[in-house]
Order: sequence, then structure tokens, then C-alpha cells
Amino acid sequence: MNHPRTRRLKVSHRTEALLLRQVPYGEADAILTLLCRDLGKVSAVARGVLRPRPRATVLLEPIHRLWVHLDESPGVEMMVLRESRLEGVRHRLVRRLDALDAAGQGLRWVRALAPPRAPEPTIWLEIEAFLEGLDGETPAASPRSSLAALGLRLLRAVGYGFELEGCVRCGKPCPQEASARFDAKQGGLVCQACGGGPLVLRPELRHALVRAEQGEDGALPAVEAEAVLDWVDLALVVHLSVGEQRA
Amino acid sequence: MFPPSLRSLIEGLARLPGVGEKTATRFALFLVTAEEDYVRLLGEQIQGLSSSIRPCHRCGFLAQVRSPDEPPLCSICADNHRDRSQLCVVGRMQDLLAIERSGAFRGRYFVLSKLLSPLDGVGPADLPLEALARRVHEDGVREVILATPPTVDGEATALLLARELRPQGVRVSRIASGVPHGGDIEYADQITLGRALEGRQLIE
Repeated sequence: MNHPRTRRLKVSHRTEALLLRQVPYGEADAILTLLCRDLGKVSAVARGVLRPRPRATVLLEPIHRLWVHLDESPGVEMMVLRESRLEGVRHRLVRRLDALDAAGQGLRWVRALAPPRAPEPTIWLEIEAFLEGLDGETPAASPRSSLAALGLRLLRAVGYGFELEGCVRCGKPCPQEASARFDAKQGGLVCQACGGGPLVLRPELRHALVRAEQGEDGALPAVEAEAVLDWVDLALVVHLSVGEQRA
Repeated sequence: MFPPSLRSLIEGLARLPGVGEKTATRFALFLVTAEEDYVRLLGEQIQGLSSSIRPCHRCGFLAQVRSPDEPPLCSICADNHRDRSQLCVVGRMQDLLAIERSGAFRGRYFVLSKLLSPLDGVGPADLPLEALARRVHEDGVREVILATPPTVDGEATALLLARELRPQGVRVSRIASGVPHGGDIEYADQITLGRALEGRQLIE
């Protein structure tokens, strides 16, 4: 039994955030999934946010960086959104359809990969840098190439990164200048002795993947971006379905 | 406390937008004591809604069904005095009604009923792009005015529609966005103010 003096009080959080999902709840409320700089991925209820009104008092927009005020009650899973405003507006990004499409996919990946209620500074920095890059005046790479590179970095950030230096099964190192067999489902290079992979990675592409994973914007050739996006999706399917089974 | 049929009516009424249980109870009690003719007529009107009202086959707005063989046509599409060369594309019926109330537009409409959503993965295949392109072609539309809401989803939809419609040789414009009449500049958000400044006009 809690003594009144030791009872946990409601905690207020004020932090920057990105909107990952907004699901209508009832007539005027919404359940939000936010990636917060300081809190990681959290769920929050936004009351009255869907009610038509002449002027928005709570501004909730995806893509742009928000500043949010959340209240957390002890023992309650869902936080309550008290206030929200636009903090970092990405004017250029929202005027390019290809950039918007890439941004949406990037945020969906973050929603799938970020663990709940755990601060993830790397994920925050990666998605922020990605969105800022898409909003840039002269982006270093096409939105699809940047998205593919983001996918590689997000996988690395949560411990699902592709093994590109040696065999993912036996650990045998792969010579720098050699082509190598690759299997996205298995998580990287697979040597011949371990059965090989369905794809052959040329050394140039392997090095480009490593550079992209390390944060070099524009390292991935545009022609390879679609293949890399497929690999990231495959890795997500494998890891997330395994995660779901474990849960 | 209430008889089962009244309880069930209250539950049904409470599902209406803006109606809570308290208001639903007031409505139900009113109906119980109201004139029988009024209640019967209201019941018939509600019952007939699903068969008598259908989306207009040209624009998606609400239309009265005249006969089962005749495709439903709304009053706006049926009005020959309206300008066929201008087509205003809106996201929802409520937006169409708001533009109609403004009295500033005398063309015709097309209701998308859905917006592109990068965050939710709603893509071009989910929008009625073919029907819109057909409408533009069949009506000889010269200008399409995109009146999707000033949100990320609305902007994304406008960008997509502009890209799809321009090859048809039609002029595509976007409604302006900016500081609302009677509003305070101090309280306007950065996007609205930025757009208001971009869309500034010379005073002649």
C-alpha cells in the first residue's frame, strides 16, 4: 500500500519528437506513436485533436520536428499529450513527392524498429539527419539512395546490421577485393562452405554498403538503391517476425 | 432502468458524432413522447437513406438516387450553369461544403475521399486517379484547383495530382494558404507564416 507521502506523482516531459503514427480514437481523440529525443518511442493520447477547429492549438504533423509536452501517470502505459508545436519545419521536403515518400518509409521503419520506452539517441540522430538531408537545398543523394543508407544504419543501430566483413555463419573473413555471396535473410555475407547466398556482391558495392552504413551520404549508387531497399525490408521481415514470435 | 428497446435506441443515438450518452438519452426521451407522425416520418427518412442517397458517379459528393438504372448525379454536377472548365479537387465532402459556403467558386468538384499518406503507406494506387483523369478529359476541364488540406498528407496528395494531371495539358493550381482573416500573426505557426510570405501579393 502506498503511503500518500511516498506515492509517485505525475511526471511531465518536454522534449522534441517526431510523429510516427496517428490513429483516430473515438470521435475527436487520437492515439499517437511518437519518437521522442529523450524518451524513445512512446504512445500518447491526444485529446480533442481531431475535432474541427478554426485554429490549431495542438499542431501534430509528421515529417516536421515537433516540440511536445507529455504527462506520464504512474502505472499508466499511455502518456497524455498536453501541448505540441512545430519546432523544425522542413519546407523543402514536403514539396517533393519522392522525398516525402522516402521520409514516410523511413519513419515507418523507425516505428517498427525502435523499442518502446527506451531512449534511442542513435535512432533519433539517424532519422533526424536523414530528414534534414531530404530537406536540404542540394541533397547529396537521391531520396531512394538516402533511404537505403538509412535502412542500413537503422539495422546497425538496433543490432540487426548486415555482416559485410566476413561470413555471418562461421565468421570467416572475406578478402577486401573479392566478390562475396550475400543473403539478406541470413544477415550478410555467407561463405561457400556455409552454403553461400543467392546474390553475389561485387567488392565495390560491398565497400559502398559499408561506407553508407558508416554515414557517408551519397555512397550508395542510385542504381543499387532499390536492391538495398529490398534487402533492408527482407531483414526487417526476418528480425521482426522472430521478435514477434519471441514476444 | 430503461426498457430494452429504449436502451438500445440510446446506444444507437450515442454513436452519432457529437452526441454523448446524456444527449442521446434526451433525444430518446423526446422521441418517445413526440407526435407519432413525426417519429414515423423520421424513422422512414433514416431507413431510406442508404437506398436513396449514393455518391455522385461523377464527383463523389452525395446524390439522390432517382432510379435504379440511372447513375446518381449530385445537384452540382447536374447544374448546367456551373463552369465545366474548372474542377476543384477536395479531400472530403466537408471541404466541398466549406468552399460552396464561401460562394467564391462556380466550377465543379471532385471528392477524393482519401489522401496520400507517406506515414501510413497510403500510396497512389489507393486514390481514384483514373476517375479524376477521366473526369478531366470528358468534361474538357481547363483548370484543376487542388484544395486538399494544408497538411503533409494534403500537400503530398496535391504534388501527386499535379504530376498526374499536367501531362493532360490542363492547368493545375493549388489554393493559397496563409494567415486566416481575423487571425493574429503572432500565433500563426511557422509553415503558415512562411507560405503567407511566399504567396505575398503586390498592392496595386
